[in-house]
Amino acid sequence: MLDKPQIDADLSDPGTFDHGIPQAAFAQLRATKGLAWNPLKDEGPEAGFWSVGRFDDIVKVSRDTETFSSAVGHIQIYNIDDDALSARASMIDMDPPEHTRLRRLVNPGFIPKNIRDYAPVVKARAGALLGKMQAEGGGDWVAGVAKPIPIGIICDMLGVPTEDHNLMIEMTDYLVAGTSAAPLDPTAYGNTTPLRLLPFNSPAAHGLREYARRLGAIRRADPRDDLVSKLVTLEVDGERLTDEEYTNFFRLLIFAGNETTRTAMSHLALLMAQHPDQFERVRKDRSLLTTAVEEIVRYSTPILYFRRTATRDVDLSGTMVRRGDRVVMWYASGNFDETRFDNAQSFDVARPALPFHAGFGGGGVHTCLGAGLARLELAVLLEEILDRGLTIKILDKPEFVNTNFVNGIEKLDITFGQ
Amino acid sequence: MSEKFMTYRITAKTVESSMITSFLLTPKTGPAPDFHPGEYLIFELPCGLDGTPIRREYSISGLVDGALRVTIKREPAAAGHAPGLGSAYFHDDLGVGATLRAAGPFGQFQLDRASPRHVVLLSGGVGLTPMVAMAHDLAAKGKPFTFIHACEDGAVHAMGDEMRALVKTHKAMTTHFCYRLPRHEDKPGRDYDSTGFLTAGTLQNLLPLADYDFYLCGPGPFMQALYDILQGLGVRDDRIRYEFFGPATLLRPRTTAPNLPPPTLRAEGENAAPMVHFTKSGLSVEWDPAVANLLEFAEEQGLMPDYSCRAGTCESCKTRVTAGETEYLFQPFEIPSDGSVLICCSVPKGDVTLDL
Repeated sequence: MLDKPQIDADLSDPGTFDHGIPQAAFAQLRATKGLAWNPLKDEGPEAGFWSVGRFDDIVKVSRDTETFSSAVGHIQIYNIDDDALSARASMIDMDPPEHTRLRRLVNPGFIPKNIRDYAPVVKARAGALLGKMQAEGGGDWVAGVAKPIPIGIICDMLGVPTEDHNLMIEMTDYLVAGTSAAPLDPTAYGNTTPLRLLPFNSPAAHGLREYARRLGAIRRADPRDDLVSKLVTLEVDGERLTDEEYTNFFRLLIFAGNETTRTAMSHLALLMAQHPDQFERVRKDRSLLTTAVEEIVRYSTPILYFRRTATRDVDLSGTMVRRGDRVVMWYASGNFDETRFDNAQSFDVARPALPFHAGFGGGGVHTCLGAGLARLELAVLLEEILDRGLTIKILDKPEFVNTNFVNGIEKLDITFGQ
Repeated sequence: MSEKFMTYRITAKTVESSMITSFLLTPKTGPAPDFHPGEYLIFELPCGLDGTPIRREYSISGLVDGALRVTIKREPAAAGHAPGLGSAYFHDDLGVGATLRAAGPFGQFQLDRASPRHVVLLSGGVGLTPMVAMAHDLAAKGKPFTFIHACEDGAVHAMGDEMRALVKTHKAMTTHFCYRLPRHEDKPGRDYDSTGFLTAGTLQNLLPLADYDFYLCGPGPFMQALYDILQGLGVRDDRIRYEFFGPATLLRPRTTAPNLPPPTLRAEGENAAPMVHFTKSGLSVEWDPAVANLLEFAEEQGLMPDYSCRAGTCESCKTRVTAGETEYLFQPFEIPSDGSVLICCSVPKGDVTLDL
């Protein structure tokens, strides 16, 4: 039997993440010689994946799309069949050159020049939502502030009407719930497709696909200046995107622009409550806004991991990874790597932006498309909170979403100090 | 001239200025190879990042007591940048008694000893090293020449005293030192002769109308600026010899090359922002230092270069620089091997032309 080192914790178990990032487990992972093997007993005696915890190793995996593929296998830990994969594949499940072709379609929408127009919209929304919560004397930060802001922005970018924003929240919530162990009603949203063929194995994915289809048809008939109109009318190499390509794209953008930023905004409030002195520094010196936002993303690492599959035998950090092995990049571990970040465990709003963290990925072509937008939303929200002179107190320990993929907070009851 | 690597011992190490140090190299066996002023040695140094040796070229700045002298500037760390490997190794790890391997001398950039014309040696920064070698050679032969050197200030000015001493013993030599920003302790007349940048006016005052041989050496923007001035003064191409320190491009006269953008009017002096030329788009725009990097700058002009990470970790934004130089804001993971530049983490270093 091969001697594969293991850490004590099972990183495939959402329960390991019940209290947020499992710092002790990741410290053990980073201290492990080579990579650690994580068995997946439910799949079989030999099944499992390699966990990569050190920052430099994560970067090696992330940048080398030829050796560590997103297309062979899936970018979540669990394996899915080839037909299921091709049904759901968006650019996140592709390697160059297929990835490149699709990424280029959406790149223009996310450059600084184009996203800065959203700053006043975020400010207005944040102001309204904070004002409402102040009037109510507090409430659930997640439902009241962190959820609605990002979904509003990504829906505006896509061209989803305001009246459908809540439906988007609901469906993407179910998508993430699909990454946990809790079973869902397979027929939700009128779904009749076998779950294994659906993204996140979730019937909500069916709901999103149908919604995207209907909206796409409306926009094709009467195009506007939004992303959906662009995706359904643009031609790539003389051809339009297929129905599947477009709906998969829609789902990717709705999820990515929503769940992730929401998580960062939830942690923003949590961190304000836990480190009031740090945010007092930012309140007094607004030049710290940029680094504070980076530190919030590093510290909370909303996307905990992405997975790759080795396309050949390769030595990674002294471990022989075999062709076909799953390799999981634990961004949440890399972000606390002491060899890269001084006093990695401490939350410091003035931490220099370089060396950069892995909150937007470990480097390479898949780096978060929306990083600039996320930074903008977080900075504007934080500034609005500070301008209003608000401080935050949490009333209860945060409840974390039951998943090992997103460092999500389910609910965060707060009151304001002033 | 030797193709083979020889072992040298460092027999002296002399600090010339705050950034520049000279090393005397005596061959372990036999005499120092003959060298032609302007030539360089290729060193094989054991200081590569992953243990593999690297090769670096340094100009010979003279023959001293039978030893070859090289004069090396420490290439400093910038934000996120590691220091230059070769120069750091010389400055920090090599002392008197150390041995190292070098081949040469080599080089196309050589003093034309047969020429009857008055020689003008024009150098910027550490580009003075081959010029110093030429100066000693010309002085030893009693030939007339003008040694013109531009640098930041007296702290970094290397071998100024050596050249001033040479002037005292060699009547047919003139010097002119231009400090961009003299320090309080630098005195006009004693330490420097002009400030700011070298201009056509400075050169006209120094050089009465005659047929000179010009030798240029220094960083890119310095070279292009001096070349433009000489062109403007009517100097023929074949009277100008040059060597770049750093990425080399061919010097071309701005007014006649078909592919270069037409010259644009701009203020002279230290405060002028560099011009960025986008050849494919036909745009020429003055750089805005408030913009974070060249990728964003291009986007502000309505261009849409390819990108992915915007952090120097992928190569999606790599762009050819066809003239001028850029500098990195921080060290990217890999600098493209084809000489192109990752514009997401670069800014212009002087005027620059991008293939966008």
